[in-house]
Amino acid sequence: MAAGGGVRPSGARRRVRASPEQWLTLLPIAFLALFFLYPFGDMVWASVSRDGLFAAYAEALDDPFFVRAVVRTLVVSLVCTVACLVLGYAIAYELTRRRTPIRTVILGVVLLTFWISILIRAYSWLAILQPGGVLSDVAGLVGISAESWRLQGTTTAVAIGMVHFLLPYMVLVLIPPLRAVDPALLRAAHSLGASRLRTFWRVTLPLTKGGIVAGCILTFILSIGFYVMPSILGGPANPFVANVIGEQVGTFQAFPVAGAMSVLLTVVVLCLYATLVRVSDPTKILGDSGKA
Amino acid sequence: MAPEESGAVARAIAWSTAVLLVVPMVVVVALAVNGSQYVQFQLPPDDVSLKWLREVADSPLWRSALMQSVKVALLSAVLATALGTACALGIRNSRYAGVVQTLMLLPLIVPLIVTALAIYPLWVDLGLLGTTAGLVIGHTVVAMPFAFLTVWSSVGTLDPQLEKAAASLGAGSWQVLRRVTLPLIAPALLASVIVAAAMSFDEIIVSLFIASPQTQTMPVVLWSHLRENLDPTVAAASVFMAAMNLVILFVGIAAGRWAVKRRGAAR
Repeated sequence: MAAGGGVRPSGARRRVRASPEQWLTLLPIAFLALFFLYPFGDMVWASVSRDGLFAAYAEALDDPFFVRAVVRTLVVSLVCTVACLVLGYAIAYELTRRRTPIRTVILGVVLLTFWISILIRAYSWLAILQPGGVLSDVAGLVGISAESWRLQGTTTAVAIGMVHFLLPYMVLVLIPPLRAVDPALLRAAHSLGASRLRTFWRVTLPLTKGGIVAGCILTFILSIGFYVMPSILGGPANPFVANVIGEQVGTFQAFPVAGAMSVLLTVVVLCLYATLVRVSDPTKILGDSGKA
Repeated sequence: MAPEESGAVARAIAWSTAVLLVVPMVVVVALAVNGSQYVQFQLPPDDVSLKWLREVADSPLWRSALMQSVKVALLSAVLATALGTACALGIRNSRYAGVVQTLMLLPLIVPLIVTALAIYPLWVDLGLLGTTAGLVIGHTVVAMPFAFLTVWSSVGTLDPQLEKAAASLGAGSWQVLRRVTLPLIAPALLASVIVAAAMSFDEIIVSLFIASPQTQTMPVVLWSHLRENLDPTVAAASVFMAAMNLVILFVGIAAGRWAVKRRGAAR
């Protein structure tokens, strides 16, 4: 369909003939249609029609376990997004000031974190937070008894791991808008007597609003699909939506119900994505956040 | 103080967060070189030993998982790049660009657990379940959006005059594609292969659904070990995987340098 052949509205200025590369477009589209769209549509259809119309949805929404997971996912995702915004903005702000060796090191740390597999990061936080883990060992070294600390298996542990995963995304999305702020504006505000805080509040922050919104939506989209961190750091008592979906299939073989939950999750994600498209060019945002 | 310098609060947050980002990596390495029988953290470790690293390096399970990961990553990276490039080149100037672009990005937007769940029954039907081919196709679906984005950003900088000039000099459209367009975006193709390989190498959720014990990749083996036992081999395996992550990163940086140099030479 993207081959561009066929009819064009009259008055089209360019001669219309599909070039070979336009025909080539059909390959990736066919690939996605077969290996992604078709199975996805199949899953939607099964979730809608199996055992009576929308029965799987009723079952999913009646499941208190699922509903609690939805609430947990949304709340933790929101908290992580805010945490990432505050920490990520500080890092991106620091990184876009005059270049110094220590700032180059910080940038290196962010990129390094970005490239290390999520599984390794989940494992390292597990080793740190588990009872008798690194944190309690270190606490013991300085004479604090960490016996009563219960971090592993809590949503706090999940949130820590998630922020660790998401922070580089936020930083990389915020750097271009912060870099685009004209230093002359800051100097002007300064010379007009604005304090540093006021300059930040009235000049820098409003100028980077687009980046903030885009970064928050991206972080939130990534958050609500999390599977690895809740599974390893949250334990069986604190599943996210993705974990409940996995369990429906893995333990109960309940494909229609898992499909219904997946469709609900996807709808939320797509709505957020539509908002992201409205505030910025997704190929830019995602391209920055891709491992480039 | 110049207003464009950062304040003390921002600096304190930035630096302490950067430290917190690094700490877990340091911990994993420290655990991996710990000589004791248990997962134990001591600074300095009183018994530094490479035995856990050696145990992982010598284990047929970890070795075959690593080989499988490399194989699947390379194949799916090349496939994803080919498909992503075909799409990026085909839709510039097309009025369907927006629609196709959204379509290409879908596997990136949709949570991986949803993709995994959706493709599982199809993989069963097609006999792809548990096969290396099935893993390659699944990883290609996941990696293609990143390949597309990488090539797309470079296609935007293409000078259409060059292709027009080649065509006006009598080059057929295939010849233009092969001799002009593709060489011009070669650095992006390389970057795309690297990004896609990284995505595939780290992919865990789809792999958990569709890999068999014979075809499992490194993250899948790491996952099952993580759930069962926390002996230091997990830390050692993590170090190997992180090393692979870094190899891919440095290949990427070297390729970027090469592209810049090449561009300079072309001028």
